[in-house]
Amino acid sequence: MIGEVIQPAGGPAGQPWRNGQAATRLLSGTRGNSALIAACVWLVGSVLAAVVAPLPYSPTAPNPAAVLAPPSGAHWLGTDQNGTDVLSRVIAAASNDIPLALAGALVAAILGGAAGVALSRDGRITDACMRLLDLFQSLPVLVVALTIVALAGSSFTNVVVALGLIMIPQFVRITRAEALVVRSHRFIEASDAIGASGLRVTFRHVLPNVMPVVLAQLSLSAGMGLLAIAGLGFLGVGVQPSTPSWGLMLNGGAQFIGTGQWWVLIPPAGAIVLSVLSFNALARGLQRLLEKEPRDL
Amino acid sequence: MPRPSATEPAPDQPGGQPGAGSGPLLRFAAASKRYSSRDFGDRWAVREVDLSVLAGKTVSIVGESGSGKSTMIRMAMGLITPDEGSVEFGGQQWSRLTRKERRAQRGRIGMVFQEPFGALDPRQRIWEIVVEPLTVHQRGISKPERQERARQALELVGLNADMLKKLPAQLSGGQQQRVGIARAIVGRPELVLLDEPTSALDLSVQAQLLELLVELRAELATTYVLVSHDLHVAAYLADQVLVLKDGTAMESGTVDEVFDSPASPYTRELLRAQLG
Amino acid sequence: MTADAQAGAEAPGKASGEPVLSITDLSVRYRIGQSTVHAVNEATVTVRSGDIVGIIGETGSGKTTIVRSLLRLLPPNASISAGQALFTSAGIATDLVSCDRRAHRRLLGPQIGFVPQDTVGALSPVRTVWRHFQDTFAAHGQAGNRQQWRAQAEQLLGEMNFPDPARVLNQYPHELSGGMAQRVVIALAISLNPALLIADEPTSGLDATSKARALQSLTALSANHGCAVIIVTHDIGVVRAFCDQAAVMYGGFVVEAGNAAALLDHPAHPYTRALLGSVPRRGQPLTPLRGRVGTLLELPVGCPFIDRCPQVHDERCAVSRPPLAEREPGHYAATFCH
Repeated sequence: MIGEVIQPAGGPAGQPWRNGQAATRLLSGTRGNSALIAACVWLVGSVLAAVVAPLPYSPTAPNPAAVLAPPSGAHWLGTDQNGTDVLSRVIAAASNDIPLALAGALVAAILGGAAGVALSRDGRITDACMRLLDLFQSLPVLVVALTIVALAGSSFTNVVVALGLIMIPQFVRITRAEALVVRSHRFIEASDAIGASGLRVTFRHVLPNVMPVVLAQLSLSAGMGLLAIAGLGFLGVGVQPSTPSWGLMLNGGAQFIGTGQWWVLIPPAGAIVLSVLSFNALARGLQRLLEKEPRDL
Repeated sequence: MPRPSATEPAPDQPGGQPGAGSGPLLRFAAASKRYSSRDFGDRWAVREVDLSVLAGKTVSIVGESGSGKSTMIRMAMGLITPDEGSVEFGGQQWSRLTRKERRAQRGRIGMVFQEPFGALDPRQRIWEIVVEPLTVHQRGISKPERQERARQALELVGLNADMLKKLPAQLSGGQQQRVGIARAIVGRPELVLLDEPTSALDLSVQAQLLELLVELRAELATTYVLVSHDLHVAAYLADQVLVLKDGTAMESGTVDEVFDSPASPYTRELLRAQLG
Repeated sequence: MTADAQAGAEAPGKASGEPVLSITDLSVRYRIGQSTVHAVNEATVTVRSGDIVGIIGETGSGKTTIVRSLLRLLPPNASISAGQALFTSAGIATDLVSCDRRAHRRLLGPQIGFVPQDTVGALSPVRTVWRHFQDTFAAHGQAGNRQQWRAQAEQLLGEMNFPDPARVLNQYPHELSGGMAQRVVIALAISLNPALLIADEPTSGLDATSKARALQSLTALSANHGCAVIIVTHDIGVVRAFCDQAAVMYGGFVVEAGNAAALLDHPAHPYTRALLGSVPRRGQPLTPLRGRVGTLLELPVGCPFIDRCPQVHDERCAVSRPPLAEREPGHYAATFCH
């Protein structure tokens, strides 16, 4: 306290922060949040567009009359080797890939986060678990995912599970590190001094304070998961061939780059890049927003 | 050097109420705590310390950093168990109780920490923070009742009801520490432990809080054990003083005895070094 | 308020030299979001050579901001909106506020030494104490070879009451106690023989005995090397025991200034009186100040202390700001009260 720079207490006009105010601050476009807004618009918008809005053309119906047509007024991004409109297909794929990535990350966040918090207490069990984690983390992501899906079969659930399992170690480490920091704070000791049980301290004090980190990591992992899904799709694994998916489109479009039909490959690639960047921006924005929320200015 | 005697009032001294429970509320009997490290060998944080705190009294443990005073206050709470000797609260040794019993006993003790902001969960509302002892120990109380108890506790420490829904970061240091005090007393504990409660605060804020602590003590008739490095604060609040150095008790007695005729050369040196 | 107002402020029994630093009407603002915090307002302080000046204040008084503005260590959202700080050494006067960066940098170290509050942070954990001295001497082109530097460093540490300076030189910061680290930093600050030493809360976090030792070393050092010292502190005891002159700050304003002993024994400003009354004493009741410092978001129209002043008010108190006026020779107070 002594020698601190003076800061007015509370938010503007001394109002207490409420969870809703986070949204207001977000929309008011405070410093650095424009990237966050753009990210949300892309992620939410692309999924919604695929689900709600009528697409210009059917994303799955082949049209032999217009195979490999270049971008034009009728087809904004041209057509692919089956005559399907590229734009419609790219948008439709969003409703498949993005939720898949998020689902996988969510599974990892819930399981890994819980494990991380549980492992933040000292003990021999903790040491053993951390070494097992090291082992698990030494396996290459894509290879393991590939193996699981190849063995279990291509379906939405299997991909989610595979992704989730692979991403768990990251969550465990990050959550555990943050939980250890939180546990070193005086208010944790204060709860012990009150006579609170270990369980109460963990759920009422450690977990809420660890949340910002988990949410930020969730978004980052979703981005990585998306790359993994695209990789799987490119290799022809992961989802049924009839379901539009960016990875699958990459697979189909790769061969046409040499012959000059760039519009089959570039749009899905661009969509992947945009989505991963959006997840990263979301992570950064969440971190800043949630760290700032209980403090002021 | 002869071991200083335990702090107990002479039979003719006024203290406690007539017919009060036998024995001291808090008692250290040759309590010792050792920390071993590979590089530095054994180090005694607290060594063979005796201290008796009678109900209604205020005892201050004074010492510099590394003297063991923080360890002692955690032993008083049962958060640290002594390697030798014993620490008793309400006649029961902490080490003889199960973990669940220890937690239950802590309902009778309140603690105020040195850090005004650090001791509060930054994500909880003030009323939730203040009322946590009740949430933990008195399960039956409904939420509106708990909010009312929080409001009463805040009023006792001089804070407005509009603080109830705020977050700790919105309060000043002095207000945050008042919240810490409110939390310590909300369950009407028999004993309040204070670990350097004002050393992180400005002088004028410290004065306000010291005055508050005196008022609360009279109003709630609690027993205080205060840890302090500041002899003036100790002299102002306490009836009895224990001077610690490197884990060992150097001197103990009433405030007047220790300040007017210090027996130990260390106490004299400490008194001399106090400025202002 | 001009520098003339404080001319002639001399400590009895100690000849004060020429002014080394004359801060005149200094004002510093912080921009936080849309608001402006008036951290320092029209502050005037004079430091003469050989003097030890204590700036007393609590959180929000502006005491830290004022010295950091001299050293240009303010955060990016701070700006000096008015005033000057004339630093005079070897006949050359430089305005620390308006001079260019290079000129300012040349002063830091050889002319102006700084002892920061965070000692642990001030020392590099991967270099020994000797390397710190070596780096300092090398960076400022100190005359002499390594042996001579080492001898100087040992001598400085000896002056700081280290019984075994040679050993300390070979130690790393983590091997030093808080008090030892503080004395090392003081020695480093003084190693280039500056004319002015600024110490920001040099003893916070130290035990009573370490505190006393560090301050004794500081004052002896300043007497031996003839440099003026500014000590920023919240601890009145420190000022009473070690300072010749004192200035009390409240809400960004200098509310009282003058000879330290006189000021603390006969405080003229109600805030100073209240502060002195806030020191707990055995067996005596405390009369604490009510309320807390305001937000400093607005410049007060009248006296900045009016909301908390325990004394009966003059009608002037609410409408005009009391100037820093001389009460007795060398003792100034900004109040209409008596």
